[in-house]
Amino acid sequence: MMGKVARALVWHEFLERSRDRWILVLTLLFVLLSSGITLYGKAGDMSQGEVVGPSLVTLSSLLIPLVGLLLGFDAVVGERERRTLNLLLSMPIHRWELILAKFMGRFIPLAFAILAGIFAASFMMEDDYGTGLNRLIIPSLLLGASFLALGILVSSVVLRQATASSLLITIWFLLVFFYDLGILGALVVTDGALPDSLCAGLVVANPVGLYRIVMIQRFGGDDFFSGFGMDAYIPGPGVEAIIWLGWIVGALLMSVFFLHLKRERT
Amino acid sequence: MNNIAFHQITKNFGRLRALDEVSLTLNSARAVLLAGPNGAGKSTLINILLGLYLPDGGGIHVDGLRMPIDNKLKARMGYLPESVAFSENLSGWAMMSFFARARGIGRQRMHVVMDRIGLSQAARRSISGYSKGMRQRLALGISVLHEPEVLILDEPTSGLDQEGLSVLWSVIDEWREKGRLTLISSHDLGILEKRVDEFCILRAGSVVACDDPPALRRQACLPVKVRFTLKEDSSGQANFIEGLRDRFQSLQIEQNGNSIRIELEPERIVDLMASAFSNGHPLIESMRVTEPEMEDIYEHLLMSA
Repeated sequence: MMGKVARALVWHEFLERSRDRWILVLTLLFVLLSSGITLYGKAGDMSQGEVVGPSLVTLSSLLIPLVGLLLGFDAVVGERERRTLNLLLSMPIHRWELILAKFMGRFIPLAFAILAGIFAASFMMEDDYGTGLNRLIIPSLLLGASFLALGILVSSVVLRQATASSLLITIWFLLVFFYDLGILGALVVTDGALPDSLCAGLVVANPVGLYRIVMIQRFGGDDFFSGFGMDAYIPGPGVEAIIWLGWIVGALLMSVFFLHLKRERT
Repeated sequence: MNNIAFHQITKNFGRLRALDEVSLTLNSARAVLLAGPNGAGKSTLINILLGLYLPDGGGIHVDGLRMPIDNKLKARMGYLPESVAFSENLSGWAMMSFFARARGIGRQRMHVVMDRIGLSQAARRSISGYSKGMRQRLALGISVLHEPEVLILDEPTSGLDQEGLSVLWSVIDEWREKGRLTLISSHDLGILEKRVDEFCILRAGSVVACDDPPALRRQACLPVKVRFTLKEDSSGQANFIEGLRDRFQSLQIEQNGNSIRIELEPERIVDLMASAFSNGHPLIESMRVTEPEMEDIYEHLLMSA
């Protein structure tokens, strides 16, 4: 149960983040791009479901991690630089409560941005397809939460906001663009010697990879991967939940650990 | 709460010993100034009291009982950090609302505090438009919002204008009157000298001296400066000075026109007065005794430690 200070911090974080111009710009961008994709899908010859769903997944897998990291990267280091971290910690609040409150308070504007984008796309599509897009909601929220938690972890580790922002960009490029290329490269170097299970495991270990796999499965149907003989490697709902929770809870627990560690070292 | 005592507190940062078995007792209804050069251990001591650092040795005693710095104790403390920079996205009122909500304080008290720190008119303005003094006053208001039993102020005078200083003095006086403790860490000894009841001087992690200003004056035993302005009478002035030299063999006397400056130990001042007024009182136009400044006493105690 969170204490009074932590509960106040959740609201305060939400208020502060929702006035952040960057977050507003990215939310607007997400809404415009998802609407644009929908309009493009409506104009083409193909079925809307074939075009819009996968395109939105691609867009989400690029933008949501960025917004998540952007929301999280200054959570702790920003307070440290402004000298308000000690003020917060001098109040009756546990360190785990502080991290959790930061996460919750920043997740609300993130969720709003994600929902705004998806609903904007749904609104512009014809009814049947529009409701189909609702399948994007929960995995997108989990993807955002994973990257928000990752951003908070980075923020707890570093001592300067400038370092945190550099790391943010690096992590984004690494997990969104280069991770799959790395696996591909490893396959080429080993001449395909890497076992399929390992490759599939590595893909779904990355939240962006997991998101893409899950969404392909949802839009393509349960039999989609069996056509490629890969259905054995696709995680079931239990494993999927464990991976999401691992990223979110793991990153938050590590943030608490580093916040404790800095008490001893500062 | 009657007192808080640091009992043999030791804190190391790697190989650096920031605090070396520091023992201090801070009594309520007093304003205590922690003074010392950079790296003396003032902030470390404050951070230990706030529960931000864990000591490597020793502990905190409240009214004689050893207590962990838990949330219960933290709720009884208020803290003004040095050069705090609140988020510029929010207004002063929104920022204070957060701390009020976190402490369970109602709007009425918020209005009282905003009035007191002189920010009622600017309450709804964004903090980005506040001057440095206004930001510092806001931080001071936040630290006293819940009327803590222990008020900890880190460099509170930094950036404060005269209006802000008046607010600060009134807060320190109120806390003393209400029997609460104020602990101040500052380099502004001159400005705070007359506002605090006790000085604790730290150097390299140890307490050099901790007492009220009169006791520190006695401990430092620095010379008192006496300045006589004499009437124009060259032979009379020469006799006056000669008389003093006969009476006080080792006295340093500097003459500059009709003005005579003498430095002597505080305990000899009564003898000097008696001698001066018995020998040359028709000559003396005025006399001024200047006690050493607290900054001089601080320097002396630091150097002699």
